[in-house]
Amino acid sequence: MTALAVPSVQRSKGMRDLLPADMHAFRRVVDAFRQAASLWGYDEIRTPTIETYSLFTSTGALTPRMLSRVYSFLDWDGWSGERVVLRPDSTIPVARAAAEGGLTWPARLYYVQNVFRFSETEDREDWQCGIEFLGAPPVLGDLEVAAVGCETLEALGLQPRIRLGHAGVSEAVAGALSASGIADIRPALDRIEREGLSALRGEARAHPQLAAFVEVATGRSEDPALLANLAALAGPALEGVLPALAEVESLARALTGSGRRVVIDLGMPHDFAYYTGVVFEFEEDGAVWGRGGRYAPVGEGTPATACGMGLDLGTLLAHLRPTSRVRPAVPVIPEGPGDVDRAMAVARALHRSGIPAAFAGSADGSELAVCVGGERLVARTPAGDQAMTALDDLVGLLVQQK
Amino acid sequence: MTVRFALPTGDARQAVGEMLARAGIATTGYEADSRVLRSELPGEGLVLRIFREKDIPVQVALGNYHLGICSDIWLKELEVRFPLQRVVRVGALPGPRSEVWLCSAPESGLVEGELPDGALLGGARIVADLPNLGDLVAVHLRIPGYRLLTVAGSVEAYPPEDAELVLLVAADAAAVRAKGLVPLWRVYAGGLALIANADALAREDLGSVLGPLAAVLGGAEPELTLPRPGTARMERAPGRSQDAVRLAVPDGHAQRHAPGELRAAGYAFDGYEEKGFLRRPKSGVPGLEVKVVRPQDMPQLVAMGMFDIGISGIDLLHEHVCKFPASPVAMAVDLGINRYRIGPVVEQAFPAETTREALAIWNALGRPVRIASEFPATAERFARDNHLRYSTIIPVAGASEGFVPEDADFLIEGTETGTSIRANGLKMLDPFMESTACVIVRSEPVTRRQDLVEAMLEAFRRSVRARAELVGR
Repeated sequence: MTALAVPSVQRSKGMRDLLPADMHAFRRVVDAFRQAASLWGYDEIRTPTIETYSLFTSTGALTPRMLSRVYSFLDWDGWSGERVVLRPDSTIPVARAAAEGGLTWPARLYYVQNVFRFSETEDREDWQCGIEFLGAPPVLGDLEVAAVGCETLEALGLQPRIRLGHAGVSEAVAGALSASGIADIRPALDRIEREGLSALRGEARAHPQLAAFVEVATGRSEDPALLANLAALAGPALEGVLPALAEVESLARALTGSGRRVVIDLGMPHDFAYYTGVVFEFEEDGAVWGRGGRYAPVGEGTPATACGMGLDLGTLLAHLRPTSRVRPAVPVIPEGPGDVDRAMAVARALHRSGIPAAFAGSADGSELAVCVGGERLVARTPAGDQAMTALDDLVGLLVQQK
Repeated sequence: MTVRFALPTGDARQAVGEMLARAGIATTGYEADSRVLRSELPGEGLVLRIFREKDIPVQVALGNYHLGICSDIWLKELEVRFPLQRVVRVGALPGPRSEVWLCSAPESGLVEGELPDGALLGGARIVADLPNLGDLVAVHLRIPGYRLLTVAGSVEAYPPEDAELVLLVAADAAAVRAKGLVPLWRVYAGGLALIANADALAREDLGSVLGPLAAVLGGAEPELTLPRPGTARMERAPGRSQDAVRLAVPDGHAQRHAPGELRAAGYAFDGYEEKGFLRRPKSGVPGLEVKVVRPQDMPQLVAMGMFDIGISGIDLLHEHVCKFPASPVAMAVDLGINRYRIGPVVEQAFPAETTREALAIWNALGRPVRIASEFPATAERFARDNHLRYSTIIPVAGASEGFVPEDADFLIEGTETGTSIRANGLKMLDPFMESTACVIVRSEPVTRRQDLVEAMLEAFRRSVRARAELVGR
């Protein structure tokens, strides 16, 4: 017999194992998310891990930077020239699936799935809890989507602050710069994804009114007064920004009115190719729990407008893992081969009462255990061993202990 | 310290050899007329290894070689797809400069320097033998649902009827025009680069080569300029006619026999001879269109329905089917010429004479078995079929005999007489395949002229039978 050549046993770089402690935190998030989404009338959907590459190039919703980072390859029937990708984003596949499946609008959908994107330094597999409100009306739809995120995070004991921006602000400034004859601003538009509105600061310098607007708009405020000041600064060149400011104000007032903390940050970076309206992030003490916004789904049969958001399970897991306790199973110990049937009956009775229980050869340091020997049942508890004969009594005792 | 230095074969060989000589670096075995692929110069602390240029950045990135000289274009082609690769571009070396151009056919209506509006080009086909750069260009042009057709070469053959855009390597815009294409955008320009493995540069003393080469460093730095979507409307060629039969005939080595085979079957094309060709020879047969392309690309082109018939090889068809088992391409006629065997090739000193003996050794190595091949899918199937427990496939562009034993444990390689592999100190174990030239067709025809396809196939069969009878006499 030859020795087995042992391949690399480490996980593929950037991919994610979810160990039991992670999965306990994972389930906490997913349960809270499902509860919140379901109460707002959202139904679950799941899309394939592999999609065609052209789905993502056709929509034009992913930037060249993002498209350059997808995991693409030729499928077994790739002789046709059609490449496939590991899903780099869930929003586009959800819109595709909804249209392909003949759903009617509005459609409220939620998903829990992973996405894959190459990164030099970070995770390459990210799990997301997301919702897509396809056909969502402006403001009311945005408010609903943001509320699902807030309710999920609040159920997990978090108190996020909602950072609010609007893609229409960058678009209006960019449009005004183009209309004023300022040279090619497309390189600056590409930077909005990483730098936000301040990416246009340099180009705006040649136009004093625009420069003033950009300067003020890149400031943050918890008070909607900022929006009134910006409306005053907009002038004729930026008339197109007023509807965006009005939407942000409506949303900010509604969220504040429901007891949420809001910060208006029109300079926040966002994917310029993707979002078309309000954009928001849930943040707390420097951590960003998730983000979302309004977009225009592209593709045959999709609605004209939609709003969605995704919670970043990786960030939430890292935060919740220390407080997510693994529930150990109660060892059920048959003392001899003749006690197995009785041990099985004990385990089933405990399971029916919602108590995890599993066979074991010894208590192995567990706080609770049950020894089964003939007709005798012994419950081992921190208070000491208690002999019992009735199974119901044993279950009652363990329910109290758990 | 022995410095392992990867040098290019092909067009750049003479210029690089002369430059190394000027720098005072030993070049024994790297002379322009040498066929040596590996030259060990212990007195100089140097091992020279000659690769196809395309393989050099990969080999240096893997750490198999400390230093290398290659075209900036191949380095960039690697970098844009694998940004974490471990190659440092030390500097430019004097040598020929090449450019990568985005081009279209004159029929596109685009003029030089004019970029198309990507949004109007949904589903456009882009042909490239630099697929990573091709992808980058396509996503920056924001072409919805574009198709990238990766080919082995002869990219200028495709537009306008088989591709809207093409990425072409040429000396300059004039050279693009000389190929009958319109230069739209210069994507990249670069010359020869001295490259080093990043880890070797940090930890090894490479001074014996770096020092002399430092004196000759100089030359233009490479420039990558990605296009942005333009505003011009591009005319697109109509789809292929189903009332014609499209035949693909080979250029390159296979061109030595293909015109003869065609003549024997009764087809002589004006513009396709053993020593020269036009891209679109005139068939003289009503309804038959002929184009000259690389034989390596034919199975895919026939599978895609761009051609109805191709003259290719069983080896190339097998490679295609290994990659895409559901492909609708099949062999219609075995021409029975250009016969050669394919099998695992090891160094002569390897202690096995059969594949079975070798498998026992490879499976006991306790590390991945490295298989280099110009037929990577065939090599992967060999590993799978023979239960090799852990293998890595190294796709190579050519000059593969030099890979064993230092850079690969064995090759999946073809040989006609065995002369070449013996000359390189290698031996073939049990061949698992015999390849000959063949005619391939699509099992689900695209053309409506099946009568013409059948007539051609019958003519090839008659020709094969006649030759067999002649040999049998």
